[in-house]
Amino acid sequence: MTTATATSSLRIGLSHLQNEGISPNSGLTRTTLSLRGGSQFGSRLSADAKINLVREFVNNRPRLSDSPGNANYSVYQLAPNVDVESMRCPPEDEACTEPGTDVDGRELHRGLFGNIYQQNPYWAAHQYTSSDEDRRAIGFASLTFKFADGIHLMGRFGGDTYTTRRTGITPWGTAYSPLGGQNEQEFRITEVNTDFLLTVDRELTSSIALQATAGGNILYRERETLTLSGGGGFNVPGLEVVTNQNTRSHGYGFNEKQINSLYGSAELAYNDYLFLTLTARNDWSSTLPVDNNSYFYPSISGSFVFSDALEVPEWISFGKIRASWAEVGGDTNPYALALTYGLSGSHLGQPRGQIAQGTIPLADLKPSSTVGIEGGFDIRFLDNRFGLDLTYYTQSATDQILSTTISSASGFGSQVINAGEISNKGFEVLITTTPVRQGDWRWDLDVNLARNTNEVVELVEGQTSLVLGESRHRGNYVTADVEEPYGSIKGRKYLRQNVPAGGSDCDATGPIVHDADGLPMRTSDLCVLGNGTPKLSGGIRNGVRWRNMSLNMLLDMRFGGELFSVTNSAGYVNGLHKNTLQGRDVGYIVGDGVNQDGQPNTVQANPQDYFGRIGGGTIGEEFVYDASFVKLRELQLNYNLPSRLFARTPIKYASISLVARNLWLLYSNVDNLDPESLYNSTNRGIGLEHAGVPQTRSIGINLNVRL
Amino acid sequence: MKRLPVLAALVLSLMIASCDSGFEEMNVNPTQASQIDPNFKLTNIQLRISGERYENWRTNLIYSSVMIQHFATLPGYWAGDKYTYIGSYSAAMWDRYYPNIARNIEDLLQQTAEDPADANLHHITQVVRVIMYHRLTDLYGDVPYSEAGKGFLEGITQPKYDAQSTIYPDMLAKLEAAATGLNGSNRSFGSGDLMYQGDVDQWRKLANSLMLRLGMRLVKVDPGAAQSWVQKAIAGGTMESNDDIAYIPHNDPSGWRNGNGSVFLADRSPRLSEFFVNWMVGHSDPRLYVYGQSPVAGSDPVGMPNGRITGGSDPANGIENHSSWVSCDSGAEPCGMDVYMVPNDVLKGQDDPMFFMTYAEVELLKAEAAQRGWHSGDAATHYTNGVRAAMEYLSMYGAAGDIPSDAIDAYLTANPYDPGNGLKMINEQLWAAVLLNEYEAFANWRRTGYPELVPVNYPGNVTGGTIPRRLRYRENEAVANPDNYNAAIAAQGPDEFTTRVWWDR
Repeated sequence: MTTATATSSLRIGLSHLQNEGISPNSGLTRTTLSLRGGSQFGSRLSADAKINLVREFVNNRPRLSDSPGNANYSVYQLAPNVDVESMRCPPEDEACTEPGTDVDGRELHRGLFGNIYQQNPYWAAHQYTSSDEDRRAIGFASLTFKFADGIHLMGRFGGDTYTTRRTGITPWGTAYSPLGGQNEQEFRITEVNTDFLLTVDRELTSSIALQATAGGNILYRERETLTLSGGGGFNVPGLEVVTNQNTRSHGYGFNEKQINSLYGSAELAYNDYLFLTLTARNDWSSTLPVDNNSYFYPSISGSFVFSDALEVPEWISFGKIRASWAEVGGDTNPYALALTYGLSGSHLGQPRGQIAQGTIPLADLKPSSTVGIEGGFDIRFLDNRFGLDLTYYTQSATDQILSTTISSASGFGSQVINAGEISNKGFEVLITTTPVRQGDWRWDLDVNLARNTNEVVELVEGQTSLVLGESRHRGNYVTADVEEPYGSIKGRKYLRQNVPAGGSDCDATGPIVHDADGLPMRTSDLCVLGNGTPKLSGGIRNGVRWRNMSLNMLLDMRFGGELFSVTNSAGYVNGLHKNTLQGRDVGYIVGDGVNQDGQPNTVQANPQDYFGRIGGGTIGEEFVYDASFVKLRELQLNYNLPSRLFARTPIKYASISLVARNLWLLYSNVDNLDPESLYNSTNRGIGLEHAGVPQTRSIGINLNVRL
Repeated sequence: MKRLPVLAALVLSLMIASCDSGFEEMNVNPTQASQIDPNFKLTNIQLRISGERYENWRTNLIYSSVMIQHFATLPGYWAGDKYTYIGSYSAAMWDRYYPNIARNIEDLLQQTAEDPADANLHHITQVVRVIMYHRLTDLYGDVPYSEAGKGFLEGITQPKYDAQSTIYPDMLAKLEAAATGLNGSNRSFGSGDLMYQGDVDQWRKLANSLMLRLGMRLVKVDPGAAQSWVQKAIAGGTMESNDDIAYIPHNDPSGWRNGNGSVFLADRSPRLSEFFVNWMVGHSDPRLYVYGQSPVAGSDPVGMPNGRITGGSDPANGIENHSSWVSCDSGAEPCGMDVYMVPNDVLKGQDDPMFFMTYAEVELLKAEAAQRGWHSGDAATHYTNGVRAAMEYLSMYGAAGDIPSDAIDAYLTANPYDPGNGLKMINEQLWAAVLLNEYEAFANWRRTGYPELVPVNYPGNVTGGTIPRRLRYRENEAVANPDNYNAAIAAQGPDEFTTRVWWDR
C-alpha cells in the first residue's frame, strides 16, 4: 500500500513466501514486513527511511555427501532389490505415523548391510531435525541537503542485524548414535554502515556535463555465536530438548571488523556520445596488519558512441566502443594474523587448553588486489535487426588471501597465504538477431558465448601446487597448479602396460595390467585426470511472438571441464552402477588386459571384488567425466489476455503463461548424474560431486494481473 | 571563502590520519588468550592421545584389534578383519594425532624450554611426545617427526619423513634424558597432569618402562642396541606395581569420554575371536568371562572366526546363520550371532580408563630380558609377576573385572613358566594383557611372531592373504607433501600393508 502527499510518501508492504522442498519434510517460510517513507522539509532538506522486518524458518536444509541425515545419499546407496517403501514402516505396523521408525522408536532396519552409517532414508528425512529461524531487521535513515541545483550532500545510517537460531537433532535410536544428540546454536550478526556522499551534477558547457561524487563510509560488522551442545545422548527417549541430554557443554565466539573508506568519482560526458569515468577509493581494514591495512584502488573507463558522433552509413543503427581499466583491493577475516590459545571445556575439573587455530596465521598479510582491463564494442545493423556485442577482458588477481590445505603433519590443516597470481582472459560475445519482423510476427534469436582461459601464474614462493579440496573417497583431489587452469582434478589411473622409460606411469599406454587375483592395478603416481574449470559456456534464446502470444526457449550449454563423481565411485563398490553388471550372471569377470608378466589376463575374478577395486576412489580415472552439457533450460508460452475481457473491471493487464525449467538434458557424458551436480560453486568444490540434491525439473503456470 | 580549501584539506588529512585508529586492538580476538598455563595444555594433549571415538574406532579397533585377532567382525567396513584397504580408516590415527596433538606438543616444549626451573615440565612433555610418536611410527614406519608440528613455530608446512631408524634412537635418547633429568626438587605439573599429577618419580618409572618397551622393539633389527637400552631401562627403575600404570581416567560424564567405549556404544559388531577364545579356554584362563560374555547365559564359550561376512556367496567366507534383516543389538531375542562371545560390558564403558602402559607389560618384558640373558633377574618370577599383574589390573575397569587371587594362583600353577618355551609364553601373555591397547598388541606381534596367528584369505584382500605389517599413510600427503612422501616411499618401500617397518625387518 502506498500513499503520498506533496511532501511526504509512505509505503507499507507485507509479503509471505512458502516454499516446500523436494526432499520430504523440508522447506522454507519467510514473512517480510517493509515500511518506507520519505519527506521533504522546505526546499533544501529531504529525508528518507526504510525498515524491513523479516522472519524466516527453514526446515532441513539439504545435506551433502555422506553426512548423516542425507536421505539422498541413503537412497543412492540402497540395493536395487530393496523396496524403498519397505523402509518406511515395520511389518508389524504398516500404517506407522513416524516414517522410518520401528516399534521401539528406533531407526527401522538399522545397520542394514552391516553398516550403521548407511541410514534408513525415511529416518534421515523425517526423524532428523535441522532447522533454523532467522529474525532480521534491515533499515536505514538518510538526510539529503541540497546546496544548489545539482549539488547534494547525503548522510546515511544503515544497519542489518539478524539472529539465527539453529537446532540440530540426531534422534534417539539412530543406528550409529543410539542415544542421539542435540545442539542449539545462536548467531547474532550485525552490520552497520555510516556513509556520506557529496554529489555534483553540472552542465559545464552546453556540450560537457560533469557528475562528480565524493564520499566516505564506515562499515562495522560483528558476529557473536552461542552454542549449547548436548552430550551423552537423550535421557528420556523421544523428548527432544537439549536439557534432556545427559551432559551439556557450551561455546562462545565473537568477532568484529571495520572497514573505513574514502572515495570519489568523476564522470564527464561530451555531447552524450563520449564518456569518461574516473574513480578512486581507499580502504582501511582492521583485519590487516597495521602497517599494511590501507589500500588504494582507482579505475578509469570510457566509451564512445561513434554512431552518434560520426557520419555512419544508414545500415548501421548503433555503434559504440568501450574500454576500461580497474583495480579492486580486498581484505580478509578478523584475527587471521596471530596465533592464540582457546579453552575447550574441562575434564575432571581440569581445563583443556590448546592452540585455537587449525590454520597457520600469517602475520604480514597484504591486501589482495585484482586488476582488470576490458575492451569491446556494441554494434547494431539494419534497424537493430542484427547486433553484435563483443568484450575482451584480461584480469590478474594477485596476493589473493587464501586458506590452503597443507600437510597435516605440520600440525595444521591449512595455511593463510597471499597467493601469487591467477589470471583470467577471455571474451564474451552476444549476437542478437531478429530474422522475422513482419505484421503480427516477430522472431528473435540471440546467441551468447563466453570463453574464459584461466591460469595459475604463480603460487607461494617455492610451491607449484596447492590442494583446494579432497573427495570423500580419499585419494582424489582438486588442486591449483602453476601454469595450469585453477582446479586440476588429480587421482590414480589404470596402470597400463607400456610405461615410458624414466617417465611417469601416468603416461603409460597399452592394455590395463591386472594383479595375480585378476584385479586391475593402478598407477603409483598421482595423475592429472581433468580440470574442473569449464572452457566455453553459452546460450541460445529463441523467441517467437504472434499477436499477443509468445513462445520463448532457452538452450544452455557448457563445454570443457570435468567432474569427479563420488556417487558413481560408490556405485562401483556397492554394485549399483550399470557397469558392475558385467560377470554377475556367471559369477566372475576376466578383466580385459594383461597380467604383470605381460601375458593376457585369464584370471576369473569375483565381479564384486573387481569393481570394488576400481570404485571407492581407488582408480579415479574411471569416475572423471566430461562435464559438458546442452540443456533445454527453459520453455515459456505466454498469452496476454485481450483487454476487452476486463474492460469494465479495475484490471489493466493480465497474462497467463506456462513456464517449464530444466526440461531436457540434450547432451551429457556423465553417468547417472546431471553434470551440474557439484558440491557447490565455490573454488573448493570445483570438480567434485557427491550425493547432492538431484537437479529438478519444474513446470508451472503463471497468472499475472495488474490493477 | 579563501580559507575553505585549506580547511577542507585539514579536515581530510585529519580523517585519513585517524582512518585506522583502534584497528590493532579491534583485531585481537577477545575470546582467546595469548598464552596459557602449561597444565591446561598437558591435559588437552593427554586426552587427545587417549583419543576420540574416530581413531580408536578405525585404527585401534577396525584395523589393529581384528588383525591381531582379539576380536572378529562380520561387516565389510571392519577392514582389518579381512585385510582390505579403506584409506580414511588406515590413516585415522595420522588424521587425528598430527593436526590435534603435534602442534600443541611442540608449543608446550617451546614454552617449557626457556626456564631451567621448567625442566620437569619439559621432560614430562618429551615422554608424552614419545607416547604419541612411537604409536605413529610403529603403525606407519617412517613418519614426519623432527619437523612435524612446526607449521607455525618454524613455518614448516611440508615436514620431511624421518627414517624409523633415526626416530627410535632419538625417542630413546629423549626418554633417557627425562629419566635422568627429572628432579623432585623442581616444580612440576599439577593436577593438569591426568596421568601422575606431576609426580616425577612415577614419570621417571614410565620413562624407563617406555625405554624397556622401545628398546625391546629393536630386538630383530639391532639386538646389540636392544640389549643395551633394555639394560639401561631396568637399571634406571621401571614400574613396580599396578599403582604405577600409565593411564588416563575418563570417569567424568561431562568430560572426555573413553574413545573405545564410545565405539562400543555405537558399534555392536565386535565378537571375541575364535583364536582368542580358544587360547583362553585352552589355558582355563580366568579372564575369559572378564574379557568376554556369552550373549545367552550359560552357553558354551565360542569365538567367532576372523575373515567372515554375513551370508555371502562363498560358503568359505560366509556366516550363514545370521539374517541381516534381524537386528541383533536390541537384546530382545537371540539370533544367529548370539552363539559368539561379545566383549564384556565392563570393558566397554565410556568412563573406563584408557591404558598406555601397564606394570604387567614391564614384568613380561623383563621376563623376556632375563630369558635372553640380558638381565640377571629370574624369568619365571617376572613371568609370574606379569601374569598376576595382568589379571589384577582388570579390577581398574570396575568390580566386574575382579579376578580372585586363588583363581590367579590356580592359573599359574596350571600354566607354569617353561623356559624351553619362554618367548612364546611371555609374548602370548603380553598379547592377552594389552587387550584394547591394540596398537601395542599389533607391534609386539610383529616383533616376536607371537601368538602364532593364522591369517585369513578374504576375497579381494590387499595383502595376498597375509596379516598386514603396517598401515598406509594418509593419501593426501601425495598432493600436500609430495616430495617428502615420495622420498619416504622410495626409502621404506611401497606404501602397502605388506611393507615392513625398519624394526620389523
